[in-house]
Amino acid sequence: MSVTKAWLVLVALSLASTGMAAMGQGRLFVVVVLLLAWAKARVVLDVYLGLQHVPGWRRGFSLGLGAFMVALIGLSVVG
Amino acid sequence: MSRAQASGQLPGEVMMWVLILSELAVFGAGLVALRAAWLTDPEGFDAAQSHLNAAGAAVNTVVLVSSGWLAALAVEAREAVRARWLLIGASVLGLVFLFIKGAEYAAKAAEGISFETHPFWMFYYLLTGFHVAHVVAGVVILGFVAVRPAPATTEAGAQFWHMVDLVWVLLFPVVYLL
Amino acid sequence: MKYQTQKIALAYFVVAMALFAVQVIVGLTMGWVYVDGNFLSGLLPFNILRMLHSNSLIVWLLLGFFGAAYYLVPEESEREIHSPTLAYLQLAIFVLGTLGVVLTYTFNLFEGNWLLGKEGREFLEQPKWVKAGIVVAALIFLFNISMTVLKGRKTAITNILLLGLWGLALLFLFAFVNPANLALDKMYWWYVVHLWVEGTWELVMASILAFLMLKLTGVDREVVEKWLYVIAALALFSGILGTGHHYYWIGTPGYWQWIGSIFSSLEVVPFFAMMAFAFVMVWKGRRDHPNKAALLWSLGCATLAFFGAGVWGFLHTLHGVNFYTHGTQITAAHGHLAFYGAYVALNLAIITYAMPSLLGRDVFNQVLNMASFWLMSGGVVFMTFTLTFAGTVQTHLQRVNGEAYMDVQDQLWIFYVMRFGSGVAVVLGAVLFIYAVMVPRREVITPGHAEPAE
Ligand code: HEM
Ligand code: HEM
Ligand SMILES: [Fe+2]
Repeated sequence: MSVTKAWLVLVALSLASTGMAAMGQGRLFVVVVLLLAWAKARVVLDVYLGLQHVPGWRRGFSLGLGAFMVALIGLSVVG
Repeated sequence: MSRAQASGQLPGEVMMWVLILSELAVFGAGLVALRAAWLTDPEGFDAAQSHLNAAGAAVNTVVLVSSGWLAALAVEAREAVRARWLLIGASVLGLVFLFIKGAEYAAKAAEGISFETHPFWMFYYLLTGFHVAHVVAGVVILGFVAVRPAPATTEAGAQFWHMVDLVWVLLFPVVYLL
Repeated sequence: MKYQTQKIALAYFVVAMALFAVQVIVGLTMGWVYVDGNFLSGLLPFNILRMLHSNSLIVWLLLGFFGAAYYLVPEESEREIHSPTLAYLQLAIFVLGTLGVVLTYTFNLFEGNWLLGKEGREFLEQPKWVKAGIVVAALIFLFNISMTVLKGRKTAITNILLLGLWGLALLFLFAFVNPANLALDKMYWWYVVHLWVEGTWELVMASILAFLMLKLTGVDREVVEKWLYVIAALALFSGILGTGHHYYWIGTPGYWQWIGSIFSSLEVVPFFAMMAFAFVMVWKGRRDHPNKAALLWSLGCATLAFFGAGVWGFLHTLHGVNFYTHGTQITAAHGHLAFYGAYVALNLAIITYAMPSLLGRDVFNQVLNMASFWLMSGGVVFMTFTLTFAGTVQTHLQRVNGEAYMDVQDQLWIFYVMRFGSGVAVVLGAVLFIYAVMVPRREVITPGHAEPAE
């Protein structure tokens, strides 16, 4: 992915999560917003920070980020 | 980038990655702690959070990812002049972020909200405060790099800036939206 | 020994080891006071013994660091120390100051005097005039070492070492800040105590360890340097705000509970990295250095530091846990293993490495020295376990059930007896160590005979 495409994706995802917020609360909302944040984080890591070129490290970061996001989703959904 | 591709090594300085990982660990732990503390008093946290203005913060998300885009373009730029303008653009957007953030803090202060008001606000000030400190540092770093952009310094400055970006896209929904 | 002025280290190491002996003997005495509460109470009360124990510890560790710097800086910078006279003057000031502290406290001289009297602040009890002397000595030292480094070859090891030593000396200035408000007093006190052992001293530790690894394993300097910079960065990143783990309950704002918990948890990482570094270097190394004892102490240092500081530190560093364990024997267990692993063993490692060349001998008495490692370390580890058990029981009885402090202490008596026993092993180990590096001119035991079959 090029950096410009990454930027467009990030802006689109940001608008999507703001749009979600306008639609109201609820469990589904929580999960979707966090999934959108997860996607944004991956774009920043892969393209802006260039991990797309180093698959080994990319896998490591994805794993760490994944564990973190799962923890967040878990904590936010039980509440 | 082709060098990194060939060797399977992280792009740029190892030290930048040590910093990035450390920062992610700190902010990650802080965000998880916030959500965990939330469970102890859901009504109180929800009530406190409803005082936040998510719209301003959402605008700031777009500001910051756009600034990151300019920084990433600066790394790819072939001529120093182009890199310089892109870096200046990135740090100006950083200033815009700080301006919006300042307005938000001023509004909170006017409402009489401080560290002590509720645990939510303690987390709020800690997390956003640490992040803002990094934005300030990033603006300064990008400014310095822009004086005489060289590939290595541009890359390091941009990496720092992307880290700030990354933290924000994770922090924003957790603190402002959920 | 390639450079004449490396010899300065000898004087520092000898004084350091003498104070080390005093320190552990006083510790053992205190260990007995815990068993028999009235022991010596009229002659040398517990609080004075405790001061002697902890202050002699700090002073001898610092002298060891200075000695280490005088030994390794010439080799790294490839030139003689700027001024040997200044180096000996610095040592003389330290010895004078130490005597002053001991006499003032033991006989309670100048009670209440601003300049000459005691201050009663753990680790920083020195009368003001001694503090001033320490600052002067530190300035002499920094001038001397910095001049040597500036004129010579600059390496990552001397860079990090100097950063650590300068930071150490500057932070000591906070020892002069002594506000009447007890909460503020404690706040500044930790600027020295915490930012020393979990900041600047860590840099000193990393650089001395790096020097030892370079010499003992023969790994490329480039590799060693990369590790060293990463370790130093991790130590400072986590250690500075990690100070917050002392600000949970002293009246400082509540946000320290989270800052302290999060950053100090990360402090485990540099200690883990140092252990990984030491083992990876040995594993990769090609050189078979004859000084096996120095290698044993180096690896022991990195390992026990990880357990003492990293694991035992993490054990009680989250504020939810520390709420219950604060100031119990858990703290003492951690304090002993951390200081021993990180800084005692580090000093003994560099002493073991340097002594043969300082005394102009072959590498003798590996077996005695190694035996002292196992005896001393075994003693400290056992002591850590007894104190950890004591602390767990104490936490439960005192903090959860709410029993009175002294009632609980009575029930811990058996642990204190066992601690005394392990203390005997530590003292014997220390004496054996000093004997092994100082006295014999020939190998006393031929290696291979005494070593158990593995
Ligand atoms: C070599 C490094 C270290 C040394 C020499 C050391 C030594 C000590 C000592 C002597 C004390 C007792 C201070 C007093 O109250 O008088 C102490 C307290 C403490 N240390 Fe460490 N420490 C080290 C590293 C660490 C690390 C890495 C952590 C955390 C992961 C940690 C966590 C703590 C905590 C939480 C306390 C306060 C205990 C209480 O509340 O009573 N320490 N340390
Ligand atoms: C190299 C070995 C030793 C080191 C590095 C060391 C270090 C320390 C430190 C840092 C403290 C202050 C702890 C705190 O503030 O929580 C301390 C206190 C103490 N040490 Fe040691 N020590 C050593 C050997 C010994 C030995 C052999 C004994 C005796 C068995 C001993 C008994 C004590 C006692 C009784 C205290 C006072 C604890 C209290 O106030 O309740 N130490 N030591
Ligand atoms: Fe500490």
